[in-house]
Amino acid sequence: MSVFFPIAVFYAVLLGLALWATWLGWTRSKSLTARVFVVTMALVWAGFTAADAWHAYRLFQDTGLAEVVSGDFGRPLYGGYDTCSFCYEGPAGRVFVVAASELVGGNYMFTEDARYALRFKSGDVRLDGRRLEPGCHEGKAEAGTLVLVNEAKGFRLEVGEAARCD
Amino acid sequence: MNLVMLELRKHRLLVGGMLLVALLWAAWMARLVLAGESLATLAIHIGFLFALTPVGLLVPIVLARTLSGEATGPLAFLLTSPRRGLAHVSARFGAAFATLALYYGVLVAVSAWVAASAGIRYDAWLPLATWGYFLASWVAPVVILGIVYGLVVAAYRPGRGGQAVAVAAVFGVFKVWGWLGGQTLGRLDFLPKLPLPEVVVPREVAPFLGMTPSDLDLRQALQPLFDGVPTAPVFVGLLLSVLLFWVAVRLWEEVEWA
Repeated sequence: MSVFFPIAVFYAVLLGLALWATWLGWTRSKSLTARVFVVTMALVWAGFTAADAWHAYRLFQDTGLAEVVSGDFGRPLYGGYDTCSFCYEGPAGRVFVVAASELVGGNYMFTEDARYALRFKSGDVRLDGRRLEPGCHEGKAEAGTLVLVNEAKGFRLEVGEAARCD
Repeated sequence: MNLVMLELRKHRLLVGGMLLVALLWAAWMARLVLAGESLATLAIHIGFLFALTPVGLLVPIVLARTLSGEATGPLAFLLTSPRRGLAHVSARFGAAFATLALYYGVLVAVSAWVAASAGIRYDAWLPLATWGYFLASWVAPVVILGIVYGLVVAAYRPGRGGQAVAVAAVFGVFKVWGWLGGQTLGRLDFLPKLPLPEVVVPREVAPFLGMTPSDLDLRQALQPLFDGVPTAPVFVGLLLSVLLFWVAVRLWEEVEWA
């Protein structure tokens, strides 16, 4: 049986509640406003629930149980940092981004050959052991390339075909 | 005005309790700060803000519970009174919103004062803007949603799934709200933006905020990432409040026929 089955049951219960509420909402009141409002909103909820179920199903189909459970969706970078302030790590449009106003102890490895654009204002950043000057650097990196960030301010690393310094 | 006073009298325990909590809190913080314990006060205050902020949710919950029992309770005559629904809904909304505005006003003012005394420097308009932003984008829609919930329950035949109907409707409203928020946040760039506030956190305060101990200039840190604070949530909140208000007014006038 599919691993999606218990999740499908969960969504089916929610969907059943929404549709039951729609039925009650239309039949058990004489107030037109209440009927229209409740039915519209319950159907909206039902629609979003169905869409969520579909997305969850596609997610399981596309990536498999291990990836969903571990939260690792084929990222081009593997790694993390010790501390950071105001940071974002994840997809941003067509690139994968690690951005932070201040990043300490960052340690990332490319999991695939990819284009990158690495920008930082100040600090100590090393790409494959080479210490980089503050500014923006772009190029292609092979799988296994390491990015070490001892500490950096205004840091932004983009990975993906669309990564550019501009 | 009578309707507002009636609301306040009905909920005097809740309103009085919330304001008492806020004022006692302000007094305790003031005592700590004046005793020279600025940093410890900031830490205590931040911790307790997580507990004090959601207390405001009690207001829409109590509103909804009261309204849902109104049609079968001793105040059922209000629903059939010749006064228009607009007056009733406005009175309830006004009383609840004023209470919450006062409560969160005290919290924001205390926060601003405690932060300032701990050495955090910020723009003078920041507390007022935070207060207004929060009230317009969150408090107003949630309060009116509480009223709509109660009226929806009252508009249905009692004991036959009225709560389920209202819950489904409210979930739908939350979905619409979230969808609108997601759509507008990225796309309404033409709306005016608030400037990034000037907030400077000194080295000794940073650990209390979960950051590495170094001088932090918030505006400098955020400037490469954002060019301003989007106001789309405020507009979405106001739009939603107006729509729900209209629904509530119509519901009020139709509840008696249920």
